Amino acid sequence: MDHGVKIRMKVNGQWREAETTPDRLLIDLLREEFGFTGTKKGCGEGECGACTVILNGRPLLACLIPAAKAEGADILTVEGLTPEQGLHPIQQAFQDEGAVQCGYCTPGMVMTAKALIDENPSPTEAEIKRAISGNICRCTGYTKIVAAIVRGAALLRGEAATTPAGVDRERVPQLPPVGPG
Amino acid sequence: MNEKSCCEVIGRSVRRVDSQGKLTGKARYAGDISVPGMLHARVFRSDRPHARILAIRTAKARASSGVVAVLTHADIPGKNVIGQVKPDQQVLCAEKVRFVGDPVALVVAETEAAAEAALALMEVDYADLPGVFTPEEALRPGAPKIHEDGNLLEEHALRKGDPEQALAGAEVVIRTAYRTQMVEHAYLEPEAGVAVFENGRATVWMPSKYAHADQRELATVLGLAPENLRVVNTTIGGCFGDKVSLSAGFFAALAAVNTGRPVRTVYSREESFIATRKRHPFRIDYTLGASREGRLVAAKIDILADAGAYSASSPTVLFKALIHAAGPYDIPHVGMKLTFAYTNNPVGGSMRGLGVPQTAFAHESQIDLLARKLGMDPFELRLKNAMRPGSVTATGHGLGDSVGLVETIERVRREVAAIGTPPATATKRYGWGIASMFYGIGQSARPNPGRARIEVDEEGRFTLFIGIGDVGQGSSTAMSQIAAEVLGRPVEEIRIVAGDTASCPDSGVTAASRVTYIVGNAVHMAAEDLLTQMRDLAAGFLRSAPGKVLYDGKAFRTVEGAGRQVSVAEVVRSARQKGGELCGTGVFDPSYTPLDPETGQGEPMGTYAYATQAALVGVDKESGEVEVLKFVACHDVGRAVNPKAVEGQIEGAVSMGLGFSLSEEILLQNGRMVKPGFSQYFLPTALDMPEIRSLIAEAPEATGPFGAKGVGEPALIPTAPAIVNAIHAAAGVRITDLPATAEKVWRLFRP
Amino acid sequence: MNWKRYERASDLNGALTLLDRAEGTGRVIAGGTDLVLQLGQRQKSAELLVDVTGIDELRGLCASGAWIRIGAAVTHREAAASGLLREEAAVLAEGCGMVGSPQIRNIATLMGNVITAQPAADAAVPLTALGAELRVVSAAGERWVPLEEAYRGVGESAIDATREVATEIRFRRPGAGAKTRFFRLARRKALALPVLNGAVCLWRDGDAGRIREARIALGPVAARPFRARQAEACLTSDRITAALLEEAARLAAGEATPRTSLIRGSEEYRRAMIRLYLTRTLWEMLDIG
Repeated sequence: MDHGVKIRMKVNGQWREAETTPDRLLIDLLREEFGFTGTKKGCGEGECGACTVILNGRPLLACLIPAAKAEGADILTVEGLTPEQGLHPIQQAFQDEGAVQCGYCTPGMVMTAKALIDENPSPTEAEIKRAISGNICRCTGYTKIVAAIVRGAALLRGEAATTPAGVDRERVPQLPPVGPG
Repeated sequence: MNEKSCCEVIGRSVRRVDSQGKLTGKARYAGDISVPGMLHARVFRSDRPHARILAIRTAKARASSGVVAVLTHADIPGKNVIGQVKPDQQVLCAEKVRFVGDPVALVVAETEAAAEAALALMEVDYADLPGVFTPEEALRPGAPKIHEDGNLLEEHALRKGDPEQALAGAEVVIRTAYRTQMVEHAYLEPEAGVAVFENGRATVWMPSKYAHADQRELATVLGLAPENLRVVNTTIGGCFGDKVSLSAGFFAALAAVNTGRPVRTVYSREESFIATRKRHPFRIDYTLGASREGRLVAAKIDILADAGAYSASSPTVLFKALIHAAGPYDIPHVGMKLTFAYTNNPVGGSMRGLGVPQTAFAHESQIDLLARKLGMDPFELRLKNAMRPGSVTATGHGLGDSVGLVETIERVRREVAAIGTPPATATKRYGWGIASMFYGIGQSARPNPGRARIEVDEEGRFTLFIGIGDVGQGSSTAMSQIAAEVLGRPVEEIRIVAGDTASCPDSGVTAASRVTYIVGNAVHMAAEDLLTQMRDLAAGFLRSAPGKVLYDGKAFRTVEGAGRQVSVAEVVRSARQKGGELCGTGVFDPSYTPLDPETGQGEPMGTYAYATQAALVGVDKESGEVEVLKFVACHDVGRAVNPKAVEGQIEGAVSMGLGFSLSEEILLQNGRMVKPGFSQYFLPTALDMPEIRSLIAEAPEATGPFGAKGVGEPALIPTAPAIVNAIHAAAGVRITDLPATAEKVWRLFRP
Repeated sequence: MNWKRYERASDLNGALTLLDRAEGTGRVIAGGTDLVLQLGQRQKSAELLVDVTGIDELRGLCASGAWIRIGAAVTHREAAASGLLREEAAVLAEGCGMVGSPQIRNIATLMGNVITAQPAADAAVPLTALGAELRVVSAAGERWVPLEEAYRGVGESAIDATREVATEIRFRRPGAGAKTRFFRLARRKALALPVLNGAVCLWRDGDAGRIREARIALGPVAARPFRARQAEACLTSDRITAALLEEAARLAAGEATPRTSLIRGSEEYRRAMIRLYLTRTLWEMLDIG
């Protein structure tokens, strides 16, 4: 097969390089070459936001960006947002507010929220709705997502940094036994 | 230490057991799975709505770079037929295609791009046949036959009392024709599946809400004994009733069995639109009779549905529609006729509510029109006729005690009054609309057992095995909560395995809002069973009678409590030393009586959920644009196992109902979809959503686990009629066909 | 296999050289949000993509003398947030804020919105009303193309992106006496092409009772962003009255040529909405009613 171009970018704090076809899209490079499958492909046409990553500080759609365009870029995916232990405050807020259902829009939604809060540490509900208006969620009706982003922003400002009482601890689900981890 | 009292876990908004994985990107959806040496399969689909296949020429595609195989019907090792209710659909079409999107061939290649490129090289010679695109055309004498035995898929009637005579004598009669549109489920995760075939055994990872049914059906296609096919459910990125039967995992498995290599199939969004099942469009002719005082006396309902090219879940949808089409009211005389016809349109399948969102649109519009005609308050009219304990449904089912409808109406009424209605502006008018519903939990008038198993290991750790996959609604969390409650442990200490045919019992399907009530009962019974077994053994240890042994979640001790106790782990170890395994099992199948084939009378459901919703809309009197500003929803769920999850179901359903009522529609031109994909299919965005007030009512169901019923589908059912009734309240016009686009509303303003 | 080479030009000459050498098989890419899809669906082709967004001279959005200049690499987000535009040409900032979604606006450029040649384009419609023109550079030299002449048909630009680089959009600063406004009707509040959009620029006469100049652009009601010239002429023909504004809106609805579409609605409805939205916009801009 026709490989031949090397594409290098900083993903989640580390420089990574892949040899690939020149017409590869960023989403496929992230998912298939670098293994960051947290970035989801919901439509492949820029209409759902599930593939949102933060590229040089801005939320962008990985399904519409040629990988070569991202050469040298600094990219953050949901894997890079997640700390080694536990969850990032935004993720924590999504969990506490019950903002996750099927989960397929979740990584893109979290990355959009992260970019918003980086720029605007105290977003209003209206600003949040506008910021996530490119992220489709079919499960939640957005209500708890908006609440989670309000809460995540508060956590990041150092306010209300405790989890609600009576909420149980979390555990990672079982993976199927075949296939790379 | 004492026996724990109910309820430590039930009724609390514990965190979901799967949210950490979903939030960190670690949860694995089928499309995320990669296996070394994996091939990629793409389906070649018909671009004709109705045609005979003359020749399938694969040579060019086969010769294309990177292509490993091109499979057709001739390569199916087993039976080339599927259909979980009625087997009338081929996996790969052999003689005929019946809709645009019917699968014809499977291209298997080293990369997705190579498979995609080879699709363009496929050549199929067709002889086009005349297409049939409406159910009316389909049933006309002499219409082109889509299937050998004609275009009538299924027909059923219901008769309670004497509706004709009652209508003739009714003081007020409202007759209206309604139409609903074709709707796409639009889950965010497109269908995907990964299959491995080794030593005569296949394993398929796929989003499966009913792994055992997929196993049975796919095994016959692959020509394998079911025990040689393992279906493993992956994280399901939404389904809303779809992702059932012929899905991406089927094609991946077929390719793996043929090539001997692992195969992944992922649908594009466009393919997901074209190929998968849809909500049935309904035409409903509804006649409702009442007394001048507003007492409903009779309903006569004619329903004609477009079932599309294959039977799929049409019979299921038909019966749900029949059971519920008269609405949550005590009406003495009811007559119905439901007809489902094949067409050359996309296949009608199961979608959240199974035909009841369509019928609720009709009956709740009728109630609203009646209230206007009588000059009655619509809350009052509903209260006057609302089902109560002991009421009799249209199928003649006398209801038990868990009937919370009146409470839902009253609470929504109070909330609406508290919020109030904004005054009209120069261009905008505001109004509230309300709608109620009832919904039978589980599958109708047939066995639908749920099974569960709980094991405990030598460390005293519990593992719950259930056959159903969590479709995103949170069933794994709710099931864990029920087990945790009985076993006296925190939720996170209950390990759960859901939807692996190698280890899980057949729990039935995640559908029909049945999981909490039916599988929840099975889990409850399995946990009780295990606890009883442990208690018996512990009693032996403690030289006491089981009835005198207390359990605190970790250990057993005697009532006398002389310091003697034995831990769960010790009980397990001792049982194993004696060659015994501790394993609790539970099976629950709600009681029912079948529906009489002539009259549709019977007691088809174990229990029913009830709800009332209200929408405040603003209507632009000049452009017809409708904006939903506030929403109130009150649901009788029996018992909310996890209140936050119940709210999440309500909020999500309101967004789906908002799309159903105002913006979503699959547009077809001679069976061909106009712009398949998200760009022209208007799912609500965050900016389109109103503020939602969710209220939970609890009329406990004696046969439910801790009194619980269900909420997944009920939450959607009243939303569209509430919005349509609100449009009428605001602007004085009545929408009778969905969706209520701005142009349709605008046309009603024109003289 | 799609494009075989992807080059990021660091200066304009470099970009032109790359295109020149590719002899028609190269193509300019900026944000790429439309182009990547079109290439994927084989609606357009290219062996070589020349990314111009790294060229410094294409990046600015500034006032320069009597002009506002917008480089070809300026994104909708930048335009929507620009203080200069909000102050002097709000219609453009408003239109740019409605394109696609925040993620799209973060990378898609105004120039791309013009070159992609869609009649519904939320940036191109206001640019049409502002009387913008494009600087187009090729190996053969440079030219200025009035925006209205930058279209050949739906989806077809008069700029040949296989040989030319459109480097800059400019329009005359509307000035202190001007008022501009954008309007839009769509099937939902985000992520949707409009059923109707429009941009209105008005210059009042010193004698406050009249409009000196009016420019009205509408989309998607013709094969390109559409100037409603009869309506414009009407607005300057007499003193401002409610009847004059309504007459202008009626003329605009008549001169536009929307077609019946399953998704956007019937011709009749779309004409009625042109009239309604234009009337409302003019009333608001002129404080009538």
